[in-house]
Amino acid sequence: MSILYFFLYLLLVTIVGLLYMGVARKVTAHVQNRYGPPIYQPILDVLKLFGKKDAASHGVMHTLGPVIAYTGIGATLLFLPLGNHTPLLHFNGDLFVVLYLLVVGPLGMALGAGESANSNATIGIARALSMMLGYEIIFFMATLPVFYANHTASIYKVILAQGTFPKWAAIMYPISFIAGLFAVQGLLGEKPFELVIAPHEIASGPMVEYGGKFLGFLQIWHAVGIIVETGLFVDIFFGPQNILWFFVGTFFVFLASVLVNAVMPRFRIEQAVRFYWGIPLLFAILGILQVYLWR
Amino acid sequence: MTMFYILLVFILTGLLTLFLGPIKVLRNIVALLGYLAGSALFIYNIKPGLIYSLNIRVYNIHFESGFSTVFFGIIILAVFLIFLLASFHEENDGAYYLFAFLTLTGAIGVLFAKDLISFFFLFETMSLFSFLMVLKGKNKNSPKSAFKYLVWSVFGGYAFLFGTFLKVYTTHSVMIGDISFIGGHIKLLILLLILTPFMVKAALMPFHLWAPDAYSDSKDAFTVFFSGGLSKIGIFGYFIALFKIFTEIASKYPWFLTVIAWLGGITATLAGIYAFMQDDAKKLLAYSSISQLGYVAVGFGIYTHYSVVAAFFHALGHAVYESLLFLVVAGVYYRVKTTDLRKMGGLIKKMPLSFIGLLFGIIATSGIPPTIGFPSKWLLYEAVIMKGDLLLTSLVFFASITAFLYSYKLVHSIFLGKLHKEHRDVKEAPLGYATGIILLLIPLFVLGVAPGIAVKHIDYIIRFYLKPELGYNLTTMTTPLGHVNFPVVGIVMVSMFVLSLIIYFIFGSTYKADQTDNYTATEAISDDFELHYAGEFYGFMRKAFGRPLKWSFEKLLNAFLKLFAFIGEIARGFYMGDARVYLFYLVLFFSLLAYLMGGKL
Repeated sequence: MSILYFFLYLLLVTIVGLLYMGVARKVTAHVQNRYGPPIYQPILDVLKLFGKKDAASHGVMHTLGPVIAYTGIGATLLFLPLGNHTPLLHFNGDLFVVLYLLVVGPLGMALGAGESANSNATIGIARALSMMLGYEIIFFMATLPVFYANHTASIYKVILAQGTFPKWAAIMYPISFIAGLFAVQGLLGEKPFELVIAPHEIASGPMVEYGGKFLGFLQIWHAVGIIVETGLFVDIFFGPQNILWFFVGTFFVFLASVLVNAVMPRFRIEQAVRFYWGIPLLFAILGILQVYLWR
Repeated sequence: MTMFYILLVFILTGLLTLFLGPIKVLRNIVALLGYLAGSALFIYNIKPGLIYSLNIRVYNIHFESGFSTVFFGIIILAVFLIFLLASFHEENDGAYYLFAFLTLTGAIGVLFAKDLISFFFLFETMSLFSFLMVLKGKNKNSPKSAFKYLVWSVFGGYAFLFGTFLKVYTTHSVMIGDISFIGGHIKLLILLLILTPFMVKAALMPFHLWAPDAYSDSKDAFTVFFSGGLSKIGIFGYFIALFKIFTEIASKYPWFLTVIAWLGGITATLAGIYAFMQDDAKKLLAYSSISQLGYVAVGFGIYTHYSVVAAFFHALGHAVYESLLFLVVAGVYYRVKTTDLRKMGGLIKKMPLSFIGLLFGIIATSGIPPTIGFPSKWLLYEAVIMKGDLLLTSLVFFASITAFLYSYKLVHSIFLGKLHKEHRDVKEAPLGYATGIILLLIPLFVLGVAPGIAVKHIDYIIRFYLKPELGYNLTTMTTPLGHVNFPVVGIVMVSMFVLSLIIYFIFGSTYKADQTDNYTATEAISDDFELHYAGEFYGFMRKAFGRPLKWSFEKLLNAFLKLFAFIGEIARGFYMGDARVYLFYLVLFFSLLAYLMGGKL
């Protein structure tokens, strides 16, 4: 029964994630004064990709890469509470378990893309990993005060500890919240931090040698990834929501990110990393000072 | 008595290989048998609580075994087995095994020593013979690196000896025992002096300068033992110094522990950054090893039950995955005769087992579940947060991100990407390496899923000194902050993987594409055009870090060297070598004396 439940859960999140991607395309199109494709276009794309007869593979690791990527994100989803909805695996979605599981996906894709022996793919991976030195640490530092203040490392307990509207962590720890917003932009890989994909430069980076069902896998990986990444942020900063409001929250975080994406150019890699070590780092440290002063 | 016999067995094995083994096979067999005899004695007879004294005229050697002896002894002996397996394929001679076995004797002996003099003697035995082992190394840089290692070891050794004298002077006891009752601040000096050689051995910054060179320029098989085994003596020393010698450090000098924790965090971060800038596999791993040992120092610096358990577990994990990584690189070197990351690539199809070894090695190094790297990192984070040092937590987290960077660089540059033309006929690493890889993969997973096996033992080591707070059983750990069930994380990943595989197999088919089939923006690539992204892998990060990356402690020391040379040059100016000048100094001195005495001379 619970296995069936999990399938539905995964399917729901995948579809919602794909719809978010559709919205992103639509919104970007409108910003650029175009019509854009229908919102459900990414779902059609994924169905088409999975329906393709043949997919080129460069070896075992290249094949397993997208599979591992989806494994990683799916496993993370199990430990992530969606709002006040208890996570499926109830040891309370520990922050570090989630953070480390979140890396499995990119690692799988990195290994797969590496075996294709296309330099574009490897450059994309090298950029992705370097970018982590920027946003990942900021994200971590931004969320840390919330966990410290509530004396837990469990995401679920942090959600419950926050209370309703004026007691959201976003309002109690506004400095950390701003730092977190900066980090989410990089976490989602939207412009100006779109260096990993950078279609005009390195031909969509890690994805360059993937087609057919592999690309389909990477699409649904990205879709679930959007929900998990924005969801982590919403969980930590917006208190206990029911599952509907949770999705509303993730949607607005994603939408904000997409709107920034639509009007921004792209950083160079060292600029991007340095950007994070500037103002966002300052905010993150101030946020930590704030929680020290408050306690 | 058994403790003494164990050391004797190792010494005799070393001598036997020197005299009995002109034939390589015979030498290898003697070494293996001697090792097996010694370790069987250790495993069956060494229980916590054995005491042994040996009187040599006026001097007594005191031996004792505790839980820590057993813990570190098993780690060191296990890593030595891996070293032996790899050694079969190395170019070795009698002296090679003699030095190796005497190093082992020193390392195991240190674990037994109860008095500081024996400790010093055995510790120096270990340092000396490991120095000779580095000296026998693999390239022309080895003597220089070995010398550097020797200088640092001697520096640590002198500090230790001075600390021992001070301790004997103040407490009138040569035993490893408490000094916290001594009045004044001299006890801190004693602690610092005694801690120095261990900080050198465990390559804590700023005492790490010898490590990258010595690790990378010693023989590949020995590096496995050097990094995986000998560095544990440094950790053992932390334990001795902070728990047995200065038991009340946490209440008397909490700031000293904070300094150690921060040094550990800085080591982990900076070594991680240097690691992903290296273009040589062994240098990269050397820095990675230093970085991982930094976490251990953080654990000791935090000084709670949680953090120290994490530190010990991390030391154990370090022994497993750093040995594994160095072993794989040794196997690769055996086949392709290079450790330069720019000259390899695409070996996955030729050396699949080595690839699997390296893959899980880097997964464990990065701390991804369900491997041995995860429990210790998880526990360490929780411990640092509980201590309330959020900036240190962030620093440690930054360090663990650098692990992803150097890990991927390593695996990509060796195994992924384009296969070089001259490596088309490369075969899998030979039996010794392969056996070692498989042997190391077992604890890598078993302890990652059931860390309780080791945590129980670690708890016995430290529960006498720290209030036992960590809740654990075979497969779970509980702190006030959180709770993890490790097998569940593993099972979730495996079942999710199976699900993804099912999705994969349901849809469509795949065909095998060649590397010439790649997208290259319409540029035709032929078979001998090597498009492999390897050198300057993270070159752009140089720009991101900018000038600070060029700062180094080594350069500072060199600047000091120049300063001293300059002062020395001025001082030398007084000694002209001319008798008349000296006569003039003499006259000057006496007239000055006469003036000061007021003519009463």
